[in-house]
Amino acid sequence: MPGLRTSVVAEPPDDREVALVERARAGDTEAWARLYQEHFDRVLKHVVYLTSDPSAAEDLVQETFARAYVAFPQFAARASFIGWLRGIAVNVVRKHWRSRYRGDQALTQLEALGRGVAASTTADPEGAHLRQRRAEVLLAVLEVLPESLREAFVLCDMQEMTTEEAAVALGVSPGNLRVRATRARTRIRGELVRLGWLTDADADRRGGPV
Amino acid sequence: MIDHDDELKRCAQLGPFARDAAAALDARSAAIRPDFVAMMARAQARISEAGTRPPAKVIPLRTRQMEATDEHAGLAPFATALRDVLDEQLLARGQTGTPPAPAPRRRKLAAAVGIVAAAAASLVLWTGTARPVRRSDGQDHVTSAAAAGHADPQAGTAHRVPPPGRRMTAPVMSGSIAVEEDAAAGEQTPDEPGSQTAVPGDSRGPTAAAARVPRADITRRRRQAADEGRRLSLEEEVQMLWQRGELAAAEQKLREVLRVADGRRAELAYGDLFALVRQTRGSDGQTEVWREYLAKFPRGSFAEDARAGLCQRSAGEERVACWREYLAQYPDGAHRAQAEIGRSP
Repeated sequence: MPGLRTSVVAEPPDDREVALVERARAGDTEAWARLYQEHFDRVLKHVVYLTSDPSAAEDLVQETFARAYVAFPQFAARASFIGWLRGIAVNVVRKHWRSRYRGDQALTQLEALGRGVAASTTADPEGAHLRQRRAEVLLAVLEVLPESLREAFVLCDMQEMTTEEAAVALGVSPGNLRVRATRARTRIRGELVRLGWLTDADADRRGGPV
Repeated sequence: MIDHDDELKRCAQLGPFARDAAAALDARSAAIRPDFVAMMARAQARISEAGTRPPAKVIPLRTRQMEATDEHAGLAPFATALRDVLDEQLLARGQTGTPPAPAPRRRKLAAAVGIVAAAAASLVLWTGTARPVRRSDGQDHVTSAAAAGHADPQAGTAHRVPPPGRRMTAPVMSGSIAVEEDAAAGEQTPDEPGSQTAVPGDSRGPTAAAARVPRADITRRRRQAADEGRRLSLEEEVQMLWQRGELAAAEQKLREVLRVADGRRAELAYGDLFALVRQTRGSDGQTEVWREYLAKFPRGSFAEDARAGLCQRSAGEERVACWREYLAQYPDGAHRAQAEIGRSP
């Protein structure tokens, strides 16, 4: 279940990746290109989920890899390369988020979405339209969450990372991450109840509008 | 304390929202593709802007041949394109005239002797293939065909880009190898995971230096070239226009190059044109130039990347056919993983 997976520890890098890292560290551009190609999609996904903004993601992913290239001498060869990249991506996204975040606009958008949703989507509970609206409302709720809670939810519940992986990416302890994720879910659920998407007594329902 | 049952309920309730949001974001980001050359240009710009590192030493070369593995062969187009970009960055770096770090007199003398010796060696070894590039300090800086990534393998030339995190500050020459000093000491580096350090501003390749190349500098270089009895090459003019941010003029000049050049010189001009057009006209413009390039150089150095780029930007049956054609032509190509996925309808 997303958010509750705690027992699986991130796999250590395989020998092939370690060899690529070593070659890249020695200045072998082909090795670095291979690392870039192989990890691009995962970093992209990470960044897209964290920003909720695919239009900005391409630039942020490139920035992530560029910063990784510059900082590469500090990377420990036996560490998880993707874990290290994700950590850099988190910082890049934070900077981006802080530069563009407009709290009032996000709240206004959320209220507008909430009002429209409850009235308009009652039929076809698994239809494409409903899925799209659920996505929109969750992304709008995430926009108004504090950074630390949003990150915890995105990594644990959307990316379905293990607690350990997510904790490494965010630079916090697993315990701290669990607390953040719980708080995030509580806040999100509260917003969805307030907007009419969930009810307090709706624990067993699957998230359709009320 | 976290109540586990409550947590399970919350997860069950929020699961559909999380899945739908993830699916929506996946769909909206499906068109984003890797661009290794652009990323490396950005990385080099960051390194150049930091500008705090000591210059590279030039030491005698023990010839180092690239291992001819399949993996290398598959990534050769990346490396070729990258080397062009790095050369461009180096040129820009030279022209912006960053003051050298103060060095003790003895080191200066030793460095001068080393440079003269290396320059003499390179002159002997590279007569006939080197193309001079003018630097703002008035010294000619030899950027050879090998340095641009087009070395004749028969010549046993070694070529290396600096290791990640290091700046190439000396020309790469046959008979010598640029060894970078450790960049870590005293260098501001990107954030470690989890840290909250502010991120430096964005920078993008050649345009980052645009405003720093004054017109007077161009005039001075033209005059200097005239004094030496030669005209600035079209390529040099392209670089100067580009660095000054006159992108349309730079593109026009590149078109002039393409009208008169053929073979390797024309391919290099296309390499510049790919990057320039992406800046001026975005991905649509780049697609046009890829097609134009492939029509002229179906087996050229950039052909594999250009074909893959076209496949990435096509849709439906055309996309499937494009990837199949790519795989037929480049069964071990750098984009084969993507091609394997894309060739199925």
